[in-house]
Amino acid sequence: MQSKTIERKAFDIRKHIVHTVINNGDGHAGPSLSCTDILATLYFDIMDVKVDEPNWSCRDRFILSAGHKCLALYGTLIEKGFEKADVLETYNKLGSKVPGHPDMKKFNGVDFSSGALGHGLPIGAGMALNAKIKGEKHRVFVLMGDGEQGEGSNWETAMFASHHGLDNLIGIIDRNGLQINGTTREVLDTHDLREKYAAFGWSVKVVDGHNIEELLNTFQSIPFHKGKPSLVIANTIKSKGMPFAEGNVKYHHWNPGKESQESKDALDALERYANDKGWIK
Amino acid sequence: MTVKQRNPRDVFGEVLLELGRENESIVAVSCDSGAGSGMDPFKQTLPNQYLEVGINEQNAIGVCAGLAEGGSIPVVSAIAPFISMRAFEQVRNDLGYTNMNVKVIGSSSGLSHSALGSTHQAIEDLSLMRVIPNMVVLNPGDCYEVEMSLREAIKHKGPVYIRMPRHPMAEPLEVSQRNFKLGKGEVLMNTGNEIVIAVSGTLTVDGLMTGKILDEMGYRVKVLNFTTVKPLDTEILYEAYNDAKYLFTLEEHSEVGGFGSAVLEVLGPVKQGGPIHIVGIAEGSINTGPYRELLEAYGLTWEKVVDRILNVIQK
Repeated sequence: MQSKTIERKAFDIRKHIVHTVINNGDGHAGPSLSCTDILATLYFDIMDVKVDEPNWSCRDRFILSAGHKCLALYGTLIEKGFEKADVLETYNKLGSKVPGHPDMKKFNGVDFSSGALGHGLPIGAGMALNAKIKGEKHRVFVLMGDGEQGEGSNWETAMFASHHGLDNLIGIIDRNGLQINGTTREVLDTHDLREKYAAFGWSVKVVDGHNIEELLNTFQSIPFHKGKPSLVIANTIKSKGMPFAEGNVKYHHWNPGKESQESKDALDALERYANDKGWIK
Repeated sequence: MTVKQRNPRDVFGEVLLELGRENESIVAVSCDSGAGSGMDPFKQTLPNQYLEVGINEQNAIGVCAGLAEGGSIPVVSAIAPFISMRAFEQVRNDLGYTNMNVKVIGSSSGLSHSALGSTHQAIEDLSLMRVIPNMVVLNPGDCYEVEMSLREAIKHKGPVYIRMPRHPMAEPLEVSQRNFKLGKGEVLMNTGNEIVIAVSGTLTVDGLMTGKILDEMGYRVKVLNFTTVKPLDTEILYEAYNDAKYLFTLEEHSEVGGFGSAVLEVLGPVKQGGPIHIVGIAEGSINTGPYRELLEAYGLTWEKVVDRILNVIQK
């Protein structure tokens, strides 16, 4: 798919994120908006999935290890056609199919439940190994946060995945540089993640996580090195698409209320962006 | 009762190999623990179904969840404290809530690493595994129960925890007299319901011996054995407790949250029946020493259990 079409999909996903938080209250808007372009690129070009057969055994898998970014995943799966958009109206309500962290038993297209950080990469490694054992060609994508790299389980799997040559496993770090309590540098400095994963035996590329062309080129060259797991470090901006909140740590959660100035600003920003792109006639 | 010197690990290894030959979806997963768990014959015979992950239980459980998602049946083993506690959140989230078809083997459970101290003993694993949704919890005490637990665990679709004994144990009845069913308890002796002893795991023979001595002393005794801790056989418990004067539970586990607690949860609301006493380890395990001596120090051998029961009923 052309990058312009993916850009449009990413915009539609951002609209779902912003509208849902404005209409239904508290959500992880900032983190969801930083990974939106990555998810749009994966689901609208890179990944082989079947909307009418969500559990197709040979599909490419995606695990949102940083499960709090679920609004981006819900928006993506809705745009892809796995569920209808009105499901988001139940967000934050009793019995919702779209809880604050994704649940594979509740939402079509969610390949594995997540929420507790540091769980996705081990599960993804298991899925990738299973494909190798069965001689299947599908790939497994695991999106993590940069703050999430503080969880030791990731490094257990970093060692395991390269030991077993899982070149069908692709880790993605949504590196927006912020976590709840401040910058990742202040809270627990990850230092050079590229060097760290490379030292664990991974093949690593660093990209602009909002540049669709660059994301496409990068994901199309998987595996970066035959016999090694691939890692994409995507440099991103938290709250991308809401100018007043971009790169601001306080928008990890966002609960603006329907009538607030911030809600109005967010909707105006979306409209301006669409106007600039010529999407609103 | 029959005294056999078969090692539970060897039986586990033999049965796992047999099941692995029949079903190529079974993957034996070792956390640098394959040899200690009895998986060596499997590794040698079915190397393509054997996975060594190394010393990393969190990764191991996640990998097993991923393997199971694709249709494999992982049987992952490490010594009980590490697999049930280090990786507890992974077991809860990635196997329990998601209902993944993974069999978790807590080897050398309870006090079996008796000389190594509290780090290598697991007297909390039943409490932890029992609270996880969808988790079936099996607590075999002897080689017959080990074999049947593994066979039934593979047949069951969903997560199962098997608490594996380490030492050769006597079996309370001839195998021909036993009829293992997942989720069912069994009656080992029954001369009446005056004193009911409900036992689970490695202390089965001690429970039966206790019952026989109390019977000889003139009490009417029923001894029940439970390999399945979850789901618990409520039917057999209700029937035994109905006109019981006393019920004692017995296990090589903490008195908090284990088999005894499970029995209390079931029988708490029942109006009839006498007081229920949990016999186990009261507050952590700090002692070390030879296995049987350590059990005795915690008052869990039949001689000590008889005394503990008499202390209660003769008050």
